[in-house]
Amino acid sequence: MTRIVVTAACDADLVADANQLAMALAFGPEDARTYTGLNWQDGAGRTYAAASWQVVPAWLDLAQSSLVRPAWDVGQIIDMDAAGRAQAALDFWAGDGPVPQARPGVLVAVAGMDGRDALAAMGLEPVPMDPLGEEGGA
Amino acid sequence: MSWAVREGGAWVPAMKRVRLGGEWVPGVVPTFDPATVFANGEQGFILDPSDMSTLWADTARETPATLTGTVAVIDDKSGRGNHMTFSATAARPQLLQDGTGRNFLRFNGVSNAGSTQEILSASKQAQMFLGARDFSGGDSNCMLEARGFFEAPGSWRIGVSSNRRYSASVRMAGNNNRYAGYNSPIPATPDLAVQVFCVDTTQTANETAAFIYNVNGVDARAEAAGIFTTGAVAIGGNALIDLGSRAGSSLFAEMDFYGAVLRYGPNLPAQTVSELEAYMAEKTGVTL
Repeated sequence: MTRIVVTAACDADLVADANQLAMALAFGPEDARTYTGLNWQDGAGRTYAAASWQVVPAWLDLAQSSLVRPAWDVGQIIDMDAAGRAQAALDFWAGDGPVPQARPGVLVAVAGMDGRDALAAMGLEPVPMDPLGEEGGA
Repeated sequence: MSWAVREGGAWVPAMKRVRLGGEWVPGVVPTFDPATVFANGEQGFILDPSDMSTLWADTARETPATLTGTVAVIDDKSGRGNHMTFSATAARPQLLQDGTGRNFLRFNGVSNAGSTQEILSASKQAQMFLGARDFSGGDSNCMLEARGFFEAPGSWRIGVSSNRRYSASVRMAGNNNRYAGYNSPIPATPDLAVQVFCVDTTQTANETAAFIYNVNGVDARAEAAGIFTTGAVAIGGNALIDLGSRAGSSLFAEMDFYGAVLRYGPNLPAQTVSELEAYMAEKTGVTL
């Protein structure tokens, strides 16, 4: 089965909405934790959450079509308004033209590159982090 | 079971390697079963991506995983039920196979991350065996970590730290909660490594608290950095274990994961440590 890697990034203000969209386009309530830490930064030092996953080609159209509550969400846990806001903020790149740069208020998504390559193409780099914090050590 | 390793460009039957006088020497064809180290009720897990019967494509564990697809659960083979779960779709690593036919899980360094249930243990000794390839390029990450590393004495981690390839640490009590552990500089180790980290926090000397840290069969403690305090603390306590990140939200690892054994329990005999090390070496294809 053909699969495509999709990688997306957004700033902190959009994380909650983006996680609602992730649930609406995926398979269960676990997807509410798709975007977690603000581990990436742009050249201006603004931070972003990112996620990267595999999809079948048909998903690319689904992500840009009118949202429908998925069949699994019988309890209506998805905030479809929030998901709609995230979708409206989507800047989706699938190979044509320059890769859109990560920026506040926009959910930038890139299809067809490995996760870290896609984030680099968006102008993002990892936020430096010491696993042991300020105390240092091994 | 047929075992083979590549030596001098040719495939030859693998020989169990045991330590004699500090040297690895050929022994007999291995029959070691890692589950035996859990025979007395010890806590922990065995994660083995080479065993397809333990890999699931969904968190309900109804659909078997397939090569090139993603994995949602790795069953624990220790018998303790500490399965590794990758909940969100974006958390799931891809199941691949290397040129030698060995299965591994590729973690993308962006959002792939798994965790177990909380593991209850009052043990002050623990042993970790990890087979993984780091391709982070030196970015810090957490390959295997007890949740709450910053908060809880006794918690531990194995990963990449500050432009050093591979480090292992356990957080000790007292003296501002510093650490005992080791860094291994990047030039000293290959990207594919079997790491063995054994901890005994009942020891009173810093250097013996983390008393084994081997990278590919080599004692890596000579590269020690940041060895600090001491103090008996429980390892693990009541913590879940993260694979490939810190708490699923930071320090995501770019790694190929070949397997892991974690055991909370009394220190193992040196022979058993060597057998577990050899087991993990066979899973990764590393020659010790």
